[in-house]
Amino acid sequence: MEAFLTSDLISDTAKAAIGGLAVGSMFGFAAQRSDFCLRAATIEFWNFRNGPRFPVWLAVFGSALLAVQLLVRNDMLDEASVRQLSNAGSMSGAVVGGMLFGTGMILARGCASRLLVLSATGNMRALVTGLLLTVVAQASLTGALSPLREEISRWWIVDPATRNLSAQLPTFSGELTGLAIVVLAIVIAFSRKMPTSKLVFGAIVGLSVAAGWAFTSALSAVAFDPVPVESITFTGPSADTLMALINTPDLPLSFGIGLVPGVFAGSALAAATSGTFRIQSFSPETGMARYLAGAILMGFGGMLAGGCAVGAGITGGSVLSLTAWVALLAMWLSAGVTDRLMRYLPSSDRLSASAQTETATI
Amino acid sequence: MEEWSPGTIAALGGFAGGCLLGFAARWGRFCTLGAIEDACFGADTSRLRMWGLAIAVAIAGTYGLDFFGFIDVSQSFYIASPVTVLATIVGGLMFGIGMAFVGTCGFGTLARIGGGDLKSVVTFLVMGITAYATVRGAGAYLRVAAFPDPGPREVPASFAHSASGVFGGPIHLWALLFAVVLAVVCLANPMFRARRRLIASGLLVGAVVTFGWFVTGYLAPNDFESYPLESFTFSAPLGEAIMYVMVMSGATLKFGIGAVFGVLAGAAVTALVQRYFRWEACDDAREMRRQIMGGMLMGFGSVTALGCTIGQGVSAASMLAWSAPVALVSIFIGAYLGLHILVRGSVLEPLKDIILPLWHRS
Repeated sequence: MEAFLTSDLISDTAKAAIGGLAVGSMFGFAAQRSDFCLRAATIEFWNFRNGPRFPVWLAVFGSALLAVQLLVRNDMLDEASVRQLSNAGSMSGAVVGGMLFGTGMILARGCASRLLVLSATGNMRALVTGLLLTVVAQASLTGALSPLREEISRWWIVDPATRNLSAQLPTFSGELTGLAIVVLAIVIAFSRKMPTSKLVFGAIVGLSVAAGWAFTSALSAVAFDPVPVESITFTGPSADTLMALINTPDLPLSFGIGLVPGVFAGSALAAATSGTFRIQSFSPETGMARYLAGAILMGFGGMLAGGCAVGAGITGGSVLSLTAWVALLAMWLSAGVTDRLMRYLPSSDRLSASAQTETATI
Repeated sequence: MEEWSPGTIAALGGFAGGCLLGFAARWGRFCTLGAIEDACFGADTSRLRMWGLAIAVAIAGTYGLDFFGFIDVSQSFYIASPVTVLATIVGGLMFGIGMAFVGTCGFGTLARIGGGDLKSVVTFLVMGITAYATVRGAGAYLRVAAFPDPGPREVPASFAHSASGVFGGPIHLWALLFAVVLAVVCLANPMFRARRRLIASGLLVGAVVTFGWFVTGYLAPNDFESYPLESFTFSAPLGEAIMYVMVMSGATLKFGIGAVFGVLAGAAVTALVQRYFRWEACDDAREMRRQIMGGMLMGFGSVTALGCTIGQGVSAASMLAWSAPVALVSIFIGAYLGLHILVRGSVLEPLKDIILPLWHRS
């Protein structure tokens, strides 16, 4: 590893991309095998169902938090280099963006990472929805929606000192909370009699987030070119990948650019090796309008909140960034509300999904 | 008016013309694939004649503008620096097949979105992104490698110029002759002559394309800044419109971008007034796959051929470009092939249908 990071044979940005590819594959494979999904977890939680999705999500979050805080403790990750802790952040963006994202996630039946993972298994509905999400995300960052995003972000800004939760909480609280959540996940999983493999793969997902932090941190320490310290998030990298594909003949390499194809490849491999590859599309029951609406809400909300379900929820949460925790909370709450509303609204053929299909693997 | 940049003026003109084109598409049912289908499978050449009438009016209008000094036709890239015949043929074939898969061309896709068709949103995204990538991004490599650019010509590649060069006589008179002959041929059919709405739409489209030249060639350029001479085309502009929404701060308004939004607006208003507006979505995975593949074929093909059904078929034709009939015939053959592929389910069957009878006859 040392040799790879310091080698002169490939550029620093190429190394970052290769790291992104590797970490992404790990994430994609484990996410597909564990059926990791924030949306499914929130629906299970709010409907008091005894399913495997909530414990898996807990396992991911807990193991990520534990592993990343251990990295910080052992000086393998410098908090000063983490954007979510060292820059001022927007609380209003986290709240509003999180709410929009949570709503969109329910409408589109999956968040950005889930859509990417699903498209690799042949789900074209996810591919199309993901494409629109990416276009809207880019528009929110630099395009037609950017002024609106900046306006909302300005309403309530917090400084880095407030954002860094671990500085304000007692020492070891990060590691202990992470450990507690993992234990909670195991206990719930045991009581629901779910297969342990899903839990294990969930832990691997969490570890892949930690791996991302560790890799980019180690690389930026020895790299000559500036390599941002980051981990898994999807709204930004998806937009970057799209822009790179269509805008320049040469691909500007980065961790994020490697991430997207890596997740895609890892997920496809997992689906192919477990027999879950299936071409799927929209159907008269599922209705296209809600997916497109969900994609738009997630694209805008994710950029506003500073990350998507994984980017803010897991990656940002694992470094104990206040805005990330707030965003996650907002997503969790709005997902619950939206799910309730979707069940009680008069269903029209075109706009709603039948409640029975909510527990489907999609 | 003086403070507006050429790009903005061009975009406004494009928008206005686009609205009228969107109206013509819905009210007059101006549609290339529809015209081909009517003629090949319905023995009704009316829409094809509407097409031809539009071209005739556009030729007369365009060369009229040149005659009175408003524009200089030799500035148009269709005749000043066209692509090779091979590129036109291959691009046209690909475009035609894609058009058959999707059920309409890029222009028709915009008109359908205006009518509430959501699956056309998918086609629009895929086609626009592919087209943009073919101009500037990942696809550009393939395009340039397969079809090297021959560079600008000394003598414009137009039939009017060629006829004048070979037989003598003023260029404009030849252009007028071509226009009149074409118009007479189209109007020769009494069934077509009775359909006032189709005639009106044909005249409208021809006038709008002429207006496009007028805007970019006369209204937009000012003393300090020139503007490229162009008229309506819906290949690269689809991608440019998406790009504009994504990167508004970094992109400039152009004629094509205004045209795209204009068609959307005009078609939407017309559909609402006609009470035709209804949401539509994909029936199944096969249809989604067709829409995506067709969108990619059209995106790549139209950029390679330097225009689509409107771009080459009407705008380049109005310049009497050599490429226009080549492109139109290629698109026609491609669409025919594509329709047979859809009906028969494979690529080989339609080819066998064409080749075997010829083989047996010899």
